[in-house]
Amino acid sequence: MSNNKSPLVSIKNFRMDFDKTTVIKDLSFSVEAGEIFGFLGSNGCGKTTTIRALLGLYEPTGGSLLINGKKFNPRNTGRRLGYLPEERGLYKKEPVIDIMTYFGKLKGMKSNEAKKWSLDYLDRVELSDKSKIRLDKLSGGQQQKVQLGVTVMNNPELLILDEPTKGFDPVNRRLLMDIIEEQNKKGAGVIMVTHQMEEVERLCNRAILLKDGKAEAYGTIDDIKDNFGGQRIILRYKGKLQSRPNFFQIKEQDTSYAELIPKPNVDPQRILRELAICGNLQITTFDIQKPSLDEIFVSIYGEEVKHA
Amino acid sequence: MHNLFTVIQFELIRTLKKPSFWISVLATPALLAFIFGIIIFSQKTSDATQAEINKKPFSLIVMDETKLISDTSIKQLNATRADNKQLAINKVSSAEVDAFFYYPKDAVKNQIEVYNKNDGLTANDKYTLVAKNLLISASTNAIDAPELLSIAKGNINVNQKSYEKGKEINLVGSMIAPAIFLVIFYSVIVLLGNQMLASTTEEKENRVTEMLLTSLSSKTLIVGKIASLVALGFIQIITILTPVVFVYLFARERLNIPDISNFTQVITIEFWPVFIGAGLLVSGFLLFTGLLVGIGAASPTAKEANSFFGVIILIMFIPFYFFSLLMSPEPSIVISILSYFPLTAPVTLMTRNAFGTIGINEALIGLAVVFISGVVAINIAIQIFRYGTLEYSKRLSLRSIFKPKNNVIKSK
Repeated sequence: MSNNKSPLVSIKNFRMDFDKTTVIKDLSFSVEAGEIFGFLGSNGCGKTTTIRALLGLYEPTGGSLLINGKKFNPRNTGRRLGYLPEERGLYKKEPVIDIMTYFGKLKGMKSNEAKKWSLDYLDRVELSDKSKIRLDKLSGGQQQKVQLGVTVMNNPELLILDEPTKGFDPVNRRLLMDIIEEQNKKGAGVIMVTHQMEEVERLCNRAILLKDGKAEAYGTIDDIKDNFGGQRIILRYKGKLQSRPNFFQIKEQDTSYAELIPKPNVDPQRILRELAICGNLQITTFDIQKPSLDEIFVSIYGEEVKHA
Repeated sequence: MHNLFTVIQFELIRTLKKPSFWISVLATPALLAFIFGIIIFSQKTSDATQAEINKKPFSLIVMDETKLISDTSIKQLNATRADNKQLAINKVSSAEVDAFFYYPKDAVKNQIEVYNKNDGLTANDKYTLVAKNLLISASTNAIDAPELLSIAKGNINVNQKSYEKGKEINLVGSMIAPAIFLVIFYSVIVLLGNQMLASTTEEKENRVTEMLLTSLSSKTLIVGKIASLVALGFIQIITILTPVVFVYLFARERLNIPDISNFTQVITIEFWPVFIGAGLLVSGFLLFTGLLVGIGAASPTAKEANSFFGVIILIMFIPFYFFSLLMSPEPSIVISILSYFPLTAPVTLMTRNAFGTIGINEALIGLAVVFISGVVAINIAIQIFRYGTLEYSKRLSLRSIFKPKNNVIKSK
């Protein structure tokens, strides 16, 4: 599946129309092998549509969506793909081991190999005694573990996880994160489609934020924070803090603490100099902080979410 | 087709593991065996009782104005002759004798009169039976020539030969082979129809489609499912026929099952009727499978899909409402419409093919219509599955199915 010349995933000028509605206008991004990539956006902004188009489930209206330089094909690219869709489930009335073996075989594993892998995995997630039990006889959390196992069978080179923590209990969420990190260490590229910003911040190298069918922000997490969210200054002080509307806006303030938002194109060092020349102000700490992804998300989608 | 064998194997094995499959397979023959068992048992019991009753001698008076009944026959029955009808009736009513038979002078125009004591509803029949047989036996004994006697007893063999367009035809014998295809078609649709409907709703209800379609194409999945259904159909037929064959081979005489070895010699196998029958079976199966699988994929739940099953079966067997027209060599407008309307064509054409009331050209055109409809139905089913199963809890509209471009369905 590997092709060193091409990125693991390459999406260029992707456009998607449903009847007269344009869901994706012009989307381009790439994901490199071995990285964990965050694909972010509010509900209904086209994340799942993009993934379905990448995996050949939808025919794009325009543009190209490639995996290792080729259009998705179940016969080759599908074998080393681990996909956890947003709408997920398995054959509920079949025994766990039969389901896992079936999916392993579909991914190109031999029957015995798929069975052995499944039994090892079930042992790892403490479900070895449930291998012959029908899936619907397992608890919701146990079913999630089986679903995860099916997703990561056959050492995927690309893992696509659409809202991976949706419906997962905290224990399985932890297991999921461990598996993502483990697969990534083995060399898998991971695309996490989510709006759980703390997970993205913790795991992802790069991310894209989708809004109105376009990339609103794209790059490394730090780049996004620098370019989009701006900075804020946490100030601890003694004395009196005077307003400097040309340099900053005071977001929060009490007698010894203030959160300052620099005006556009104003360097924090300049603000520090301005504050330093105030005779009746003694600065205890001057901490420059970048906004969290969550804050950036709210600032981008705030109005959209309110009206949703 | 990538992964086709894996799909067939999975679908086949998981169905064979289900007790519900075996219950449905064995329920019909078990029920039939049970009913036939009861019928045979009751018949045997009834026959034995009747024989017991018939053996029991009874006292009898006979008054014969036909003059056909001989003294020997009267003696064999331990009966006596009477001269006075009313006196004889009185003897029966006063229980002095069990029965009195009165044979009027012209027994053809007038009724034979039977008077007897009441032995119960079924046992009373023996008196009528004996009265009739006594006169029949007396009449045939009156015929001198043994040949005439045999004819009078109905011992006649007939050898009939029918001709069409200067050729001798075996109408019944040539019907059998094409009719077998109709029986198989009916059995397969009735036995597997519900499984065809439910085969794709399971993926939809369980939200498993997306994961599947990243490992195989929707065409592979549908073809795999259909192939497994065909295999299941064979297994069902074999399961039903095996005990029947065993019973026929090893217990035929004990169970008084008729010998069909002579019957098989009567069957005439002709190329065109068999070819048309086999073609219609395959094409009709494709058509109805595509239709049922498509309905399954378009419906949000198996329960909702099942509600269409009765409608499909009804449409399929509409031709039987016009059974007498199907036997006519000159097709009416109704039969022509039914022969070319895809949903009614398989049964109409197979029935006409069995009766020999369809020409080769007309049959080939009908076969082409059914085959093309079948291929189209399968492709639409694949299309519906591909799009419909991603819609999960929604029911598909006809518009969304037939405007794939707008729904961005990708045919693979």
